[in-house]
Amino acid sequence: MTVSKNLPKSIGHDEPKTLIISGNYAAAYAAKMARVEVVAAYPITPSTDCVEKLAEFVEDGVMGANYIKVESEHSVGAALVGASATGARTFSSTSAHGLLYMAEMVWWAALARLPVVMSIVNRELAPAWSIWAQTQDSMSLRDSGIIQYYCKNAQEVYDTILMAFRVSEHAHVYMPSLVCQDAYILSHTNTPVELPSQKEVDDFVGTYNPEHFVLDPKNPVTHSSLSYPVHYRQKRFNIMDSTHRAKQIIKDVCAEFKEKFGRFHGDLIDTYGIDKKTKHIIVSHSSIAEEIEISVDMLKKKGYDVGLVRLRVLRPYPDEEMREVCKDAETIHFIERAPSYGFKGVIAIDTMAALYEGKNHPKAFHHIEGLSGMDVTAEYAAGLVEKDLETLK
Amino acid sequence: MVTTKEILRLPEPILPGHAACAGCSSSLGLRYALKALGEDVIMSVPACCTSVWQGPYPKSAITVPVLNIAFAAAASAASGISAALESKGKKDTTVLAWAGDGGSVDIGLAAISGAAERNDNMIYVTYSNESYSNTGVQKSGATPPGARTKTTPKGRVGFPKDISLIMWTHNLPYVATACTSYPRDFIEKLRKAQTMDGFKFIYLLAPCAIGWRFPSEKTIEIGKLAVESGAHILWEAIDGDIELSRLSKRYEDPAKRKPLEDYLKDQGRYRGIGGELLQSYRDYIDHQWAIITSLAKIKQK
Amino acid sequence: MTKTKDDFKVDTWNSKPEKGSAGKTGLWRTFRPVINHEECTRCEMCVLYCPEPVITLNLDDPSHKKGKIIIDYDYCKGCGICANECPQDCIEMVKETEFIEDDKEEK
Repeated sequence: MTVSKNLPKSIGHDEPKTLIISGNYAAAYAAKMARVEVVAAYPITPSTDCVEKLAEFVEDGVMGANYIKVESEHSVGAALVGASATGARTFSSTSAHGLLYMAEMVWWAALARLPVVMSIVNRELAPAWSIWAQTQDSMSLRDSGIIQYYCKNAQEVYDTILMAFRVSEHAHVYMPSLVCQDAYILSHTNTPVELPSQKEVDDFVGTYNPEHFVLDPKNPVTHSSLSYPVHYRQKRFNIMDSTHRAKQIIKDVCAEFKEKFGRFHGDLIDTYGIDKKTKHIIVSHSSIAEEIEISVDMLKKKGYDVGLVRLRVLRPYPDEEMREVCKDAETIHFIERAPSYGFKGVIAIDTMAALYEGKNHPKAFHHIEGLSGMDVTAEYAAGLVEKDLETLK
Repeated sequence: MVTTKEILRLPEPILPGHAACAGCSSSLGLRYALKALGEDVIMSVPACCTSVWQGPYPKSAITVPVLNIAFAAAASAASGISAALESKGKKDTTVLAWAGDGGSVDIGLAAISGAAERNDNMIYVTYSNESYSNTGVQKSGATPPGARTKTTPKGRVGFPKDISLIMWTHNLPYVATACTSYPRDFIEKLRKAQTMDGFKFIYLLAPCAIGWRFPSEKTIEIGKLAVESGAHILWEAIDGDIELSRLSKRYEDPAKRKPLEDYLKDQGRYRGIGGELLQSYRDYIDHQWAIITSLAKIKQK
Repeated sequence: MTKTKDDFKVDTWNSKPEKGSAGKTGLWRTFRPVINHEECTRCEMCVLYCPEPVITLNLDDPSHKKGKIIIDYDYCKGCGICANECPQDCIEMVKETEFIEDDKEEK
């Protein structure tokens, strides 16, 4: 794919390089190298670093995006909707209350079919004020259809943002995306992140050329005026169709990324230690899941037949993939950060709904852990699963 | 100054058969605005009467591209549109944010103030029917003293906010007030704004027959009485220097103003409003004139 | 972008500019503006102030050297602004019931 001359500049990536950076900075580099055209951003701990890094790039003249320093997160959402509707590739970064304040516009972007991509640093909601990790902020928006990825390390954040543009801007999709990372655990710890060359990124990401609608005086349309119920049906079912198609598109894009860049973080799900006969499946997400890989090794050494499924994409939910992985499982152990108050964990609820339609219904164990960023160590997680399995005896 | 004949010869940008109430000055105002600004325009329209009268999907009465957006978001969506156009090298396209008083003065205040402070490139017109007309005429921050609305059934107590003065304090290249009854003045102000870069603001008084409860045929007449009684002041500020518009200059002298009763007598929203509330409206009008005339003495250039 | 085999399209809210977006709004009228073309001076104040707009000056009409003012009754809502603003007072708002027989004949 060739890059048009009018695209914003992104300077400093003639050759691939490895930087030791945080998840926040990884997100900023991804937006820069994807040649984002409009950024509207507002600071909020702990996503502020990304917002500041983008401003630094722009003022240093190495990133050509038009950066609007808006006065609130609601305006972030509105500005990105306006810019995306005018045909620009858009990006921002926020967290927790910022995301909730923007919630109206996140829904707007989804229902308007605008491929806005945002980096979300998952942080606990108030009261009381907390700055540490929890995923309810982004998960609470899942009904809008917005595509949601949960990353386990900074490299995955960088890679996934590039892939998110490809998926969101696909002609059959046109839905916004959230690429999520845990507060502090990923957003503020520095690890090696491989950045490809600019040319490789240009070839992979391409340009945003909307086919479905754009604000253009040469071809005027009025978007989203009052509409009658009969029209809603067709538009909303179109969203259901698109989000369903997005599942295969995500898989295809992840496979393409693996081929071009040699890295694969899973597509809709990521598995560790799973084979066709695994009896006890741990389901987790985000950075906890990376820790649980060690738990799986510890438990296997003790003779337990366990494996890990990391739910990488919450929406569109990979129901077929989960049914396939769990088809011979006896037990399923949910270890997640996000409660859905009034029922169980978000991932548990969605997964059990998916498994209901399969033949096999493994016994489910529910663990809400790591609230407000509490450490979930490998030993602790292994201990949880061991205790669960003891109850079976 | 643009002539009436010139205005009449300009192409019609609003297509008839839309959903506006009979005699709606919002539809008339947008007709004038788009005549002034031409075809190379993109609009940002929040929830307001216009977002309904443009007509239901799949047809629209407006012949330029329109992004309908959430209530609080007109200015920030327009900032985004403007940034995208600049990014694509299309700086000549005019971005027009067209919002009611509710979406500008109340729920939209943070966004409009932010966009103004950033001097984002757009023309923002607040067309004011002095209430939340779209939802059935409830009180807004712009409702004048004494006016009856569905949430102030005994008459509004207290002074409204003056969004044009709030905008003036943002150091903008252009701020002005206008009225749908004076198309030449409004179109001239829009055209002036279109020649400038940055955030240009116009407050357009748009009398609402349904909300103010007057017979629809008097829409133009009532707007003129608003200016002739001094209740609505026409002024403009280029780079902060306030000048009274020609149509309001003679009313600086209170003796030349028509009695306030003339303006209010046909408006059902003021029927039976007297005493303290009516006096409070007179006080507000005097207060506005005092502010504008003294600010007009500050010449920054 | 990837070539797609089927013709699935993302479907969003693109309304196109067209007359009569709310239907034939002429049906809303209770009073109809009627112009006395002999008294009319073609000053076009009615054209200027119509909010729809449904009034135009037809310059090609041979009945007068300055043309003829035409009202599109399919969409005129009968607000009465034209009658109120006419400097010649030559527009009268007439009850719609007066035209029932005419409308029947037209059909």
